[in-house]
Amino acid sequence: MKDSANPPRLKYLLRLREVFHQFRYSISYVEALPQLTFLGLIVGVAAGLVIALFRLCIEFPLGWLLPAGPESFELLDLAQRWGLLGAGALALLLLLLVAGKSHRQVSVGHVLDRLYNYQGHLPATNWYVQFVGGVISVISGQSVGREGPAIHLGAGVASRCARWLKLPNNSRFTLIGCGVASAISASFNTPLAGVIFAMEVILMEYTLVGFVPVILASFSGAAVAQIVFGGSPLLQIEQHSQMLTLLELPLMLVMGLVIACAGAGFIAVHIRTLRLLHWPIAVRLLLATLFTATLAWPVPEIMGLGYDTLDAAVAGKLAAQTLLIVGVAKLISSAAVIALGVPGGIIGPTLIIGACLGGAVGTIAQGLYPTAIAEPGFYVIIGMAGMMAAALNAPMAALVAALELTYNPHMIFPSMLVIVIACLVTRNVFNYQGVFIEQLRVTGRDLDFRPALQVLKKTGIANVLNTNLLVTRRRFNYEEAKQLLAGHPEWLVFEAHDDQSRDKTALRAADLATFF
Amino acid sequence: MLSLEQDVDLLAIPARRLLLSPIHETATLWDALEAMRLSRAEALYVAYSNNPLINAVRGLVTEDAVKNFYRI
Repeated sequence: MKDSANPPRLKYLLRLREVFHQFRYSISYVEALPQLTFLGLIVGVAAGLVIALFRLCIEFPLGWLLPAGPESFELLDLAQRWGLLGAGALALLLLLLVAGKSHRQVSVGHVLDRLYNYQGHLPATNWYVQFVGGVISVISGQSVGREGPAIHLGAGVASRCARWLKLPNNSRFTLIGCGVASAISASFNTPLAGVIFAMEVILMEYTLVGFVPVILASFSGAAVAQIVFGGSPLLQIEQHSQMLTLLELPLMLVMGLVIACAGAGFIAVHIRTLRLLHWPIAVRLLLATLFTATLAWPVPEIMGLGYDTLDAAVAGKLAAQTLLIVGVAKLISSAAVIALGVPGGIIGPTLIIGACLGGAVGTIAQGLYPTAIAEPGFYVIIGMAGMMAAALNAPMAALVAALELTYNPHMIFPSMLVIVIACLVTRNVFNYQGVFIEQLRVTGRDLDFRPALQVLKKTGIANVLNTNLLVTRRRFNYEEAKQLLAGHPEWLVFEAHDDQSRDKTALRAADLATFF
Repeated sequence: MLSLEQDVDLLAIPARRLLLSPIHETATLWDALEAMRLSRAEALYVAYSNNPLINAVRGLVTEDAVKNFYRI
């Protein structure tokens, strides 16, 4: 009875295997949109779950360690701050020593490097280092963000999925975009910004085949985040905030220039500090910790993610002087400590820096013209978008992120002007193409963007595979040759069968026909 | 002189023969060009990978086919 039940089960298993193999093979083709969309859903959910876990690993210990919630580093006394930073540095040192030198590359720069230079193969050890190191960095109060690590984790999930499912190499490109979109979406609860960021910063293209799976992945990441953390946005700005008159536009020009200088300053500090990469990791971590601790002495707001400072700035609770000091201190500390090897992210700090500098411009202007200038919280949001655009070279992602974080459509019009000026000045006056590209250039990991090369890397060989062939013996008689040629094959493949090798050789069937 | 009784040897007839090298079906066109460059093969073949016992060839990829893919 049992024996008779086994053959059908085996048959179904073999059939299932064949169907899956066909599915996998079909992804090699350029027009494999439904298959990639289905895989985008899987990657999106998986990345969303990982990011939810990552956020919980940060928020639970911080809620337990800090006196008034996960962002209240300011309420710690000096000894507690130093102790927390020191303990974190020791844990990071242990982690990075165990991981080894070759596995210390993390965050967005690493994702870009692996995607463009290694066909999207992201090593598992770097992924674990990013997860644990990112958690330790944020918990210990280092001036870093959690979005850069989230992007690495999302991309890593996509790369792992592609590896486990043995998917064609060309599909990794889109799937990593899916992982990144889901990660951003789950981090900020901003599904549209996740899509635009993945397309603009990671995939660096806007195509239909790329967009559809990435949209579904981003949606999945947001859905997971909303199930776990609820649906509220990261920031709350009053809905009526808007530019009062067009006379504020000159002020937007000034803000664009200020933000451009800040963006270029951030990149300059970062890439100059990267020149210390050859120093031992223990020395670099010690330097990073001392640096953060010293700056956090007078300006404790730079510690951790800094979203409490952002909330306070949006609410107009901070004076212009405070905003300026926090903005500049955060700029220097974040750019330096991340370059020194602390495995944290750059994106979060750029938002805080832009918010503080934008808020400072708005507060000063409102002090001068109280009835003609919008409330400072409005300038906080515009500064945030401008700085993200300038530092990351991501104008559309910055605009959409600011819109989604605030649900305030009035910010679009002035933000567009600020973003254009900030991006133009950063690129063309300061000659910086965004912090990630500069980071890779300085560390000798340039990305090759030649169009033909990108097409070759994104296309599976199934697209040019000639299957009109016959596998045959090397020798045969005339009748057999006639039978072979009757099917009109284009190629004949045979084994040379000499003593040294069993190499396969091909010749055109037309040559055999001509011979006859 | 061709005789109908004589065997045909594919290595002996006048024709251009391409030396083949294997490549996995998950490879990209870039992988294919790199594989041809490193192995000095003139074309590549993809085997059926879902059954390792079957040594059958699924298809051939020539250098011209790869280059014609992105050339106008």
